[in-house]
Amino acid sequence: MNRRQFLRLGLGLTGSTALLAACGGAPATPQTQGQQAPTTDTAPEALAKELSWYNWGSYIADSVLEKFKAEFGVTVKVDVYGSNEEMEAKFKAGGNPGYDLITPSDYMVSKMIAAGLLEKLNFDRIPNFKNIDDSHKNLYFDPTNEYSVAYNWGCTGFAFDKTKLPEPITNWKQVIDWPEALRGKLGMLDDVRELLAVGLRVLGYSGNATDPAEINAARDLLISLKRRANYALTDSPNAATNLVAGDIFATQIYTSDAVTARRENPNVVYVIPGDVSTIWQDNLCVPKGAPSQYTAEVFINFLCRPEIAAENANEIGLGTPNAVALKQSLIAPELAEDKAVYPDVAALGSALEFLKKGDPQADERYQRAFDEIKAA
Amino acid sequence: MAKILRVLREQPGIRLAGLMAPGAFWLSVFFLVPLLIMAWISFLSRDPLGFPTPPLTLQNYWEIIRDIRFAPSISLADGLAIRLFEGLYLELFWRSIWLSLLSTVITLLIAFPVALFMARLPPRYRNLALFLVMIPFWTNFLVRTYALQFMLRSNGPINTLLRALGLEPIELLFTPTAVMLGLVYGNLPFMILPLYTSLEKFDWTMIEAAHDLGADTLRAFQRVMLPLISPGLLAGSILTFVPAIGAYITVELMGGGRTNMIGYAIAQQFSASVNWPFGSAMSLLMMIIVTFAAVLYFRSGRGEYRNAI
Amino acid sequence: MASDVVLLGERSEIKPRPRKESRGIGLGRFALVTITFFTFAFLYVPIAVLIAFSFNSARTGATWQSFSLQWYERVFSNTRILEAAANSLIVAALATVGSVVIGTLMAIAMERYQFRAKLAWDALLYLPVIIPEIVMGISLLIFFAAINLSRGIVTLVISHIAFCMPFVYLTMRARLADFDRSLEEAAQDLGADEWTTFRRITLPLLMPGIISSALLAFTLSLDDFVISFFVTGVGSQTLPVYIWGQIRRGITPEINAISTLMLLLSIVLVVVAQLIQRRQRA
Repeated sequence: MNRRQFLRLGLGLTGSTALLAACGGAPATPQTQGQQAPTTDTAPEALAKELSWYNWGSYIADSVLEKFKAEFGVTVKVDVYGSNEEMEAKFKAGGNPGYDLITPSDYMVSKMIAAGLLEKLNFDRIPNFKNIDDSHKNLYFDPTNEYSVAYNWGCTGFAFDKTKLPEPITNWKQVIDWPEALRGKLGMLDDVRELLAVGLRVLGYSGNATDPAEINAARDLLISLKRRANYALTDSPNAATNLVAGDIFATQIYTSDAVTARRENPNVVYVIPGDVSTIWQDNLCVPKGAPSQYTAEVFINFLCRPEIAAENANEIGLGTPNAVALKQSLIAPELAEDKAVYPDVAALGSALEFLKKGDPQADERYQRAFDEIKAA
Repeated sequence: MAKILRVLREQPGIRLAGLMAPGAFWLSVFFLVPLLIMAWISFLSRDPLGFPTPPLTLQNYWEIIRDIRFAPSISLADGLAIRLFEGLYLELFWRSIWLSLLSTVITLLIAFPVALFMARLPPRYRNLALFLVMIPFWTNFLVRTYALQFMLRSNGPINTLLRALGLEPIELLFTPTAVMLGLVYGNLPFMILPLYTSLEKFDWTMIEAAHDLGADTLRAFQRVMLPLISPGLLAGSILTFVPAIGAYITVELMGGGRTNMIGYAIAQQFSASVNWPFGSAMSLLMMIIVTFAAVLYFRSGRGEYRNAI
Repeated sequence: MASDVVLLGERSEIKPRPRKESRGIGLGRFALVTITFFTFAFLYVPIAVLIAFSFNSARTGATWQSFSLQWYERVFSNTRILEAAANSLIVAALATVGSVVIGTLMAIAMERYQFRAKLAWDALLYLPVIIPEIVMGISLLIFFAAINLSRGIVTLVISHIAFCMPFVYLTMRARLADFDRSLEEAAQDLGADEWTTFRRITLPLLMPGIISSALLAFTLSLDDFVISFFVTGVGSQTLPVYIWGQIRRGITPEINAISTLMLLLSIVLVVVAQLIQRRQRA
């Protein structure tokens, strides 16, 4: 089949699906099949033929999806979004368009629970949940752990080109004291909370401070840094590119992008600055109105198998919360031994904090402070 | 059936109604209604998650203007800046409008010769020229912007060329210049196409006539050409100016967050910091200002311009 | 090139043009060509870079590593991206047709008729141009949800027609403003009815404007993602939405590859359309 035929086929399929969907007046629902799931101890239900997953981009190994299809006969279709808020906006403004599974970050889970957008999970159907390390369960956003299963996690750290800086960075204070000589060569994350968290932490406050005085103090610190260092604000992948290209010498960055940068420029060093940093966790959740919650839960269970979790984590390059996978050394050594990808959470302890959002007063204060920094 | 059509066709105004109907329907339903929704939201309060909820309030608008104060100042920091008022969002609005205006003028200066050239090509080459103008924009916007970024990098092609010529490399990326480049790049076709459309129809013998009547080229241009191509000029200007104000991705990617524009602030209210009522208020305000500016632009023109709207 | 003979009836008189004048025009011509050349270079060099990087083995767009076709291989085994590309093309094609038709009709109405509500419609037609995309996206989403229209290709096409139409309208109006109606009147005097006049006189004369606005609309639709993001449904994501969704994880040269492919495809489509049109006319 040549490309044109394929495209025509694709066009035809898409067009007819759309027409059907439009005529139906309801989201195209997957046809249910009479197939049973092999492992089930609850009343047998039918597996849907298709599972619709609203996920981050490049966030699942294709081989894993193929394996799931081979074993269960279910095709997993993935649509992508680029930010939690976009996904939230879509669900809030228009309801669930027809997804069985979504992958919100920690703070988004608590927001969606509060907004009544998530289904409680039936953990009888997810026995593999026991493979997840306890440190990734019952966290602040889902204290009773009824709505989410940990999927991936990572940190925010700092990457720099060791040949370009006079001395290696070990803590955020050094960043704040960025030398004037290196003006214009510093990058920070274009994220309201991450940026302000740097200022807050250097001042000894928590990244989750709600006191306007503290937030303003952090803001002032960052404004003075901007005047001296003229840092660029970019998203994390761009930061990696900028670092490799040599336009900046150091930047705040997420783990996965630091790993990418390091692969292309061995001079790049990634640290989680000694003081404090951010930890985040992406979770699997079933939104209300999912066409087939059962299929979603079977899939979640599948993803919690040690060998599957390892295969996925090795491909994506992020930290898996699957303790068994780690214990059985299924994670590629390049990643498993990398203290950046798998930092010693126990040792760093409270140094790693989740950034919590959802307090209206605080959120507004943060946004305003960010606007003021940008205007400076 | 044919009889009904014939009767219908003879009704006065039916033709007009037929012409207007689809467009009117589309505009009303898919623009007016969403706009009204947005205006409605701008007067609502925010719930803890940032979404609109009763009661109605003016808080959002107040938040934008509350810090405006009369504080005249003159600074020579980078270029002459005379300020009469100060305020976080005021500055943001003003700077965005100014930058967009500048980018529109630059775009016009580049687009006009190009459109002129295209309009005077032999007819069989004109469509080709049109395609050639549009083709770059059939690539994905993000990738295109990253390619632009690459051009300006400190080790990118431009600087490499400069170094090869023995010149000093320039820091281009993450500067206001880069933002301007990005904006002009993205808006060129929107200026070229309307201008071309007007120029292509232009009767060149008019210029000849003006010459023979004693006018020099400049006066001929001013008195003869300009009024006749003003529709295309105005269309192109609006289609360039307005998107420039709302452009935030280009600004952020090319400017590295160092150039602050209102489009970004608005987008933030719907993404990073969820506050729909506030975002809607800012949008509405921006739209009002832009409309006001556009109306001034039209009305300030001579009589001929007015009919162009 | 403008002729040297003035065709103005009685006043036709060939004045010898002063030498300074003709040198000025020659210089002007040179300037035109130069500026045009450099403008096109400015437009195309980043595209060349974009295409070049689709063959780059490195993941980030920072440096050139080595020649590789891996990203093209990945594209062809990535059904998601291919579906998204197909969606983009369908929606763009449909939206272009829809917006050109509606926009042209509207331009004709506004230019040639006088009616009371005209001023109001004037203003209304600028609305779509000035409304920020993100606001429009969310409002449309709320609207579609309210009328219970399921999101997918249909909502995409509707939304795209909505934001393309004003661009078509403005371009066509500019074209119509200077339209020589005497030709139409002549045709009618010769016995042609309204429809024939429109088809054989008006339409061909409007063609450059129609092509311009069709190109504009196609481009706008193909590249839109903010509005598209909000009004897509399950499985109907367009390419820009898909690409934007990769942003948190960083885009790979796979995106360069699909962009290059889309570019080629668009060019082919347009060329084919042109050939068909030319054959029809002959």
